[in-house]
Amino acid sequence: MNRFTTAVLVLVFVVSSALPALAQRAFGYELKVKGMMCAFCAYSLSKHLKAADGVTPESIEVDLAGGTVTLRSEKPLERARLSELVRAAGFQLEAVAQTVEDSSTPAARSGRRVLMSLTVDGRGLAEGEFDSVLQAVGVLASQRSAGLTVVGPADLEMRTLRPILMGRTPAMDAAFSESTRPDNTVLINVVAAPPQGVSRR
Amino acid sequence: MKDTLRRLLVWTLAGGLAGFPHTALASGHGPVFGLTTPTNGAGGWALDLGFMGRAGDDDNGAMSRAMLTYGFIEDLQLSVSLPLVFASAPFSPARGTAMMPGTGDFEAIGAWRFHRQGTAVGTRVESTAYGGLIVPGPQKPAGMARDLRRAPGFYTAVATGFASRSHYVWVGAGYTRFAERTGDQRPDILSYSAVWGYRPAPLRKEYPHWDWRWFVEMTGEKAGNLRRADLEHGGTGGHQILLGPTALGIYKNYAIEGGVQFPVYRDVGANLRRERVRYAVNFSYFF
Repeated sequence: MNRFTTAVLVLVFVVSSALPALAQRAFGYELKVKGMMCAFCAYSLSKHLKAADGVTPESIEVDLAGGTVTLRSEKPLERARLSELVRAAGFQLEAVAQTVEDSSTPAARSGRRVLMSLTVDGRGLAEGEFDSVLQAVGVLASQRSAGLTVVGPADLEMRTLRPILMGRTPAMDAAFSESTRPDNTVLINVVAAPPQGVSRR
Repeated sequence: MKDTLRRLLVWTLAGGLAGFPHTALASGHGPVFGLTTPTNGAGGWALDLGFMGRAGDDDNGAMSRAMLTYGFIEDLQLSVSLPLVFASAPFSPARGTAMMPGTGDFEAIGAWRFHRQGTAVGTRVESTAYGGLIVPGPQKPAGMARDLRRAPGFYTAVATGFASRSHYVWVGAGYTRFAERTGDQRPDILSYSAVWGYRPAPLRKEYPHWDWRWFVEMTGEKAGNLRRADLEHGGTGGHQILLGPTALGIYKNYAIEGGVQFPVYRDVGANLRRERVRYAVNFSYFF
């Protein structure tokens, strides 16, 4: 077996190993919807959400009693797009909680339920403003015996997030993950079960 | 009878050729007889097949009706319905069901939900206006109206109501008016309805399970006398109020609903038969 053949085999192995991970890439959403009350409402809303590019049809679950809809998508969905789909079905989108159920996401790896999700423009906030946001979320997280998972650009984490979390709010259990998103947004999730201390995943 | 069966067969085959599933029919996914507010979602189709009848002392009327509905946007839809009358009887002029008249007329109705507000999780307040065109079909009514030269008419209505996981309340009123044709004119009909619906706690199941609810429906119809050769014929109009229970069950994109109504107030003309019970069954298929 010459070097070329060996290199090709290694390449095939690497690519085939990576494919399942790529196939599993999914974005999770929890929608709070006003106005649903019956099976037809659930059917109509599911039908419209299935039409969105990237949404996995079988992942759509409607909770009529709670007024929530959960779904997964292979592509990120903007709130405006979700709002448009919900409106087309005849309902009102009240809130969206997003979870990146990618292998890079701590919440996805641990299987913890996301209680609240907040997306922050990483370039749009100064350090002090980040501090206020994280303080507020951290208070909520500590009160509910929950934890934080933070997904954002690596430089932002080292420069801004980690000092805030470690230096000023030690009570806050947080886990960091580097974002794979093309923009510079920071995703802060309050998850049901807290991770142990501040860690780098 | 053989003629009726042959027409039913032709009509069914025509539906099949047009690509329509044969599971359909109904007056939407609300009450059976009364006016309601929901409209189809944007791009949503509904096919309804309804069987309705009126039973009286000596005569009975029965018919089937197919209705196709399309939602242009979430608050605007158009329904077109076709009749097939099995038996006709000279009862008081009536609308029958809100979305599907109990007559041999073709009908197209536009519905515009001009107000919609999700007040909380699982509750909604909304109002819908209806406007429709009625075109006489080839099947003639019974009684004095049989030889009437029938002309097209219009139907307009408005409904408002509240819906939740447990309770529904809708009220509405409509008006039907027919044009005159060489001195002949069918009577105007003022119709109104009030509906209360309830879904008991054990039936508040999550999707996708059968979703059942019960209604108590009150409908009223006040009709004038018909005119023939520019003369009004007394005793051909009347005022009735009917009340009765109905039920609706939805499973995924299929629905079945049905019920009966009995007259609780009746002041009808001497030339009309007395109606004892009114019934309707509808099947719906949403796609």
